[in-house]
Amino acid sequence: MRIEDFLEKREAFQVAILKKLILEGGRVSYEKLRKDLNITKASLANYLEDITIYLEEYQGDCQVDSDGVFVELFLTPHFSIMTVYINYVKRSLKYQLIDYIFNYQEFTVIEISNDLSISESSLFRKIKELNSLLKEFNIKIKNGRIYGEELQIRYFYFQVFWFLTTYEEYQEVLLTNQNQSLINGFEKELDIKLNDLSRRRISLWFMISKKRASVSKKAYKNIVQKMIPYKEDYLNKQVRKLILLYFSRYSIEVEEEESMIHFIFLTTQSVLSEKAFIEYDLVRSRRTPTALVDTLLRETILLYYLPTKPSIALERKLTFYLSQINGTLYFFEGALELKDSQEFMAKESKTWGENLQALSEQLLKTALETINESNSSRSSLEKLTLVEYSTVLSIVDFTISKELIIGIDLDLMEMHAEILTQTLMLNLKNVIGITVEKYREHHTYDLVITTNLSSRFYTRATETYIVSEQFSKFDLNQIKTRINELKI
Amino acid sequence: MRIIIIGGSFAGITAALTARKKYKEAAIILLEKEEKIGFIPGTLYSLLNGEIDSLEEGYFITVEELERLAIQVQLNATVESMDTNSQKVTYNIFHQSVTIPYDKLILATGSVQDSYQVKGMESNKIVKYKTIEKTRVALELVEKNQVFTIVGGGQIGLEMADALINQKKHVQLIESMNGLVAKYFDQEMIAPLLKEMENQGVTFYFDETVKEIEEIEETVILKTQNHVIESDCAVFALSVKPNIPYLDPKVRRHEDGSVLVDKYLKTSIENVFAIGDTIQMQSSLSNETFYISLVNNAVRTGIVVADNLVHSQTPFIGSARTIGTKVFGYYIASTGMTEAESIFFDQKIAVRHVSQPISLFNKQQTINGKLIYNAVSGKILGAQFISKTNILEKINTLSLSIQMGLTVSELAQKDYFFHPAWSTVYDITNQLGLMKD
Ligand SMILES: Cc1cc2nc3c(=O)[nH]c(=O)nc-3n(C[C@H](O)[C@H](O)[C@H](O)COP(=O)(O)OP(=O)(O)OC[C@H]3O[C@@H](n4cnc5c(N)ncnc54)[C@H](O)[C@@H]3O)c2cc1C
Repeated sequence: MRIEDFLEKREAFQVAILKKLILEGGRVSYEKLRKDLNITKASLANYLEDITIYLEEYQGDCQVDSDGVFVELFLTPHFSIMTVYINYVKRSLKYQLIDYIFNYQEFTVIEISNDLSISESSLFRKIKELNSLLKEFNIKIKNGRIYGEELQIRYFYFQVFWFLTTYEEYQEVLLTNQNQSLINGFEKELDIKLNDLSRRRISLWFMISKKRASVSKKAYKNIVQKMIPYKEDYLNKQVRKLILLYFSRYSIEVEEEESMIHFIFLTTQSVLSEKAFIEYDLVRSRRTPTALVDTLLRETILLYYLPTKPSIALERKLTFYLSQINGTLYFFEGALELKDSQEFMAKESKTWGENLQALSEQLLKTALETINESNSSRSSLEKLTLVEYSTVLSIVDFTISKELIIGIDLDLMEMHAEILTQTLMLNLKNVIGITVEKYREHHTYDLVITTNLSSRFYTRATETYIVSEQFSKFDLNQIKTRINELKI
Repeated sequence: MRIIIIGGSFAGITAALTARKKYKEAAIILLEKEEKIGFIPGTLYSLLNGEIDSLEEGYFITVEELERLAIQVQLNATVESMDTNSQKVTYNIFHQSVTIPYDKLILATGSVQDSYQVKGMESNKIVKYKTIEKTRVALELVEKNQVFTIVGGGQIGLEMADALINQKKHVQLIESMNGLVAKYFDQEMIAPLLKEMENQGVTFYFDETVKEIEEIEETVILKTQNHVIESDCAVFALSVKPNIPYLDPKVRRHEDGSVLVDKYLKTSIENVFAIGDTIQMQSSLSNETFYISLVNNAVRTGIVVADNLVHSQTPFIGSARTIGTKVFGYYIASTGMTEAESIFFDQKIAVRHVSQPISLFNKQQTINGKLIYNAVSGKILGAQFISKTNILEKINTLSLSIQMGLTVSELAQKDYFFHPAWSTVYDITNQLGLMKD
């Protein structure tokens, strides 16, 4: 699901307008807005009016003006548009419902409709709408409580609250002394360092967990199954010890599965640093499904880049990122998409984009086969996983490509050589991930650009490209294509 | 002023007595759901161990003593709801509902022995003994059965194991952590006790969490993640839970369900206070709160709350979490944090062990002590003792040191008496303060 799915149609359009304005740099023509959002002039006017009223509370920090031709957004420098998005979500009825259920755990129809001042019929309608959103997480609201695997319930709330919790709120509400002690515990017991982001994530996670821990009749069927291979895992045992000790300080009864939940959170939700993960990677059980997938996918990627061998640093980074993605894929269901999937990729070239896509698909296929997940239709989490694999591949690609060294060797008269070299360098300056220099003998190059027809001359070059003195746009495009191919 | 106190046990009774002295004119009403007040929760072992002869001795105070001081006690009155808007509480007495107003309300309904997670808690073959009725039933169960499985290896579980072994029963013990009384003791300190328990026939299941209790004919089956454990009876010895089902939802709680109070023991709602086992206690060691069910906390919060009913004036200084008991021939005592728990503490700690004869002329018996302190400031953070001789009182010296913020070097210079028959030349608490180097 997307976070906007909490909104009603009217509010969703208002947020879409704001997003469009942000995307277009703050100013869009009325016509374009109308067309892009596919709405009538009258409704656009209507929504804009709503927005104006909505934004009043920010007292000029955020304002939308329209003269009938253009629509313009004003933001003061210290104000974040996120505040507005967040408030839209927080005021939506569907969000308030799930928040209410989080706070009270159990409710009666009378209580909840009273407290949220809604009629019973709209309550039922909203629950129905919510349930269709919750479906991908495999959880649902029924008989005054939320049902589903405990891990899924916490994961869902975590995703939503993570989006909605501002830094200030985190400082005030979440970084309690109790959470601080827990963070100390993690750092000391596991001998790791947690950065600010991880601390915030742990604090939120444990706020949710402490609240949920005392709910009775929790479901753990899948997690128990999935955790069987991790029984002897070193970190799993450490986490268990820590969790039992921590919860024993409060009136919280800890079930056996409680620590499993935290082990999963810790190893898959961007909490451990790369360094901490790599240390764990040295001692973790090799036969767990996630360890297997991590290795398989890493090998697949490395194979793909042969003969180029990535640096050890890059290989570690790759292992780390893959582990987070694969862990999420193995243990969880459903995804809260925060950005549009296509946005992420700055495609260098079409060929590269297609290759990347194909490789990502292959990775996903391997991963799903290894963890024995056989869904006919692709789940939202799988879609997100695909995007994340592509992101990782882009990172690898970007880093590996840095090593592409291009030499220019022009067998021309001094002055002509000079100007052509300069031209080439200037034109290639903006191509990501390459170093261009004047050819030096006995150095190794990935590509040599030359006027020398006998390319065999360059034994230490992977590729050569021959230019004529009449260097053209055509040449430039050819060179760029060659570079892209070399990168793959 | 009309002060209503709900719950007639350590916390509530202490609050009533203290308030009486302070507010001569006030009407003080104590509501208690049982037919008597002041039952001592551990009475069962005192009986089994022959320290007392009848259940009737298991009370620390009587209604008459309170009534003599013009404290109105309403017995058999179970509070069912409260309304903080109209400042009223409603209780049920012999099937009748009665609503009364308050000016100040003190919640002192303590805790219950119950589990929200273990299935089958309603079984009649589970021994519980916090209230008098439960203790009566428990006595009967102990008499009629032979094999007992204790769920929980904390203080309550150990004391029960001791009492049952003394009754020549067969005892098994299940604990989800990897050791005994792990909240209070580091495992190297408690190792001799563990060994003694094994010698006396206690079977242990560590790292196991009970999920379900099932009765099959005459036996109970306890299911953990790895085992199915059979016995005649189960003993519930997990930590207690705050007992506040009647709480107005407007009163803020901690995430674990206990009532949230400020340092004056005031809840988030005006004129409503909470004490004893209903709240999380301020720690004496750091700026955080814990759930620590102990009589001394109940009593001390009962005293402090009376001071703050009209004006917030006396902060509660918190709990060092001090315990002491005798089990399987060993006296064990602990205060403050353990070394294991120090991982939650943000500063570097150091520890020191001392072992010495109990007195100059008694070289056979030893006392083992451990001190945990802040490696930088030298402040004392925790201590543990174990001995076959009664050294329990010594722990109070250490808990006071913690509360007063003493450092190890100050402890080393602590004043103490010497008598060749009753003490050593070097008192162990002073010795603990002598750091190496
Ligand atoms: C088996 C066992 C042994 C223990 N041994 C020790 C020990 O040796 N040392 C130690 O320090 N601690 C011990 N504890 C912990 C100790 O019992 C508690 O910390 C202490 O009793 C808390 O006192 P309290 O007054 O807050 O609440 P409680 O003692 O729980 O008393 C609450 C009172 O409120 C009444 N009540 C409850 N609900 C209502 C209602 N709705 N309306 C009216 N009245 C109500 C109850 O009947 C009860 O009288 C033991 C606990 C157990 C279970």
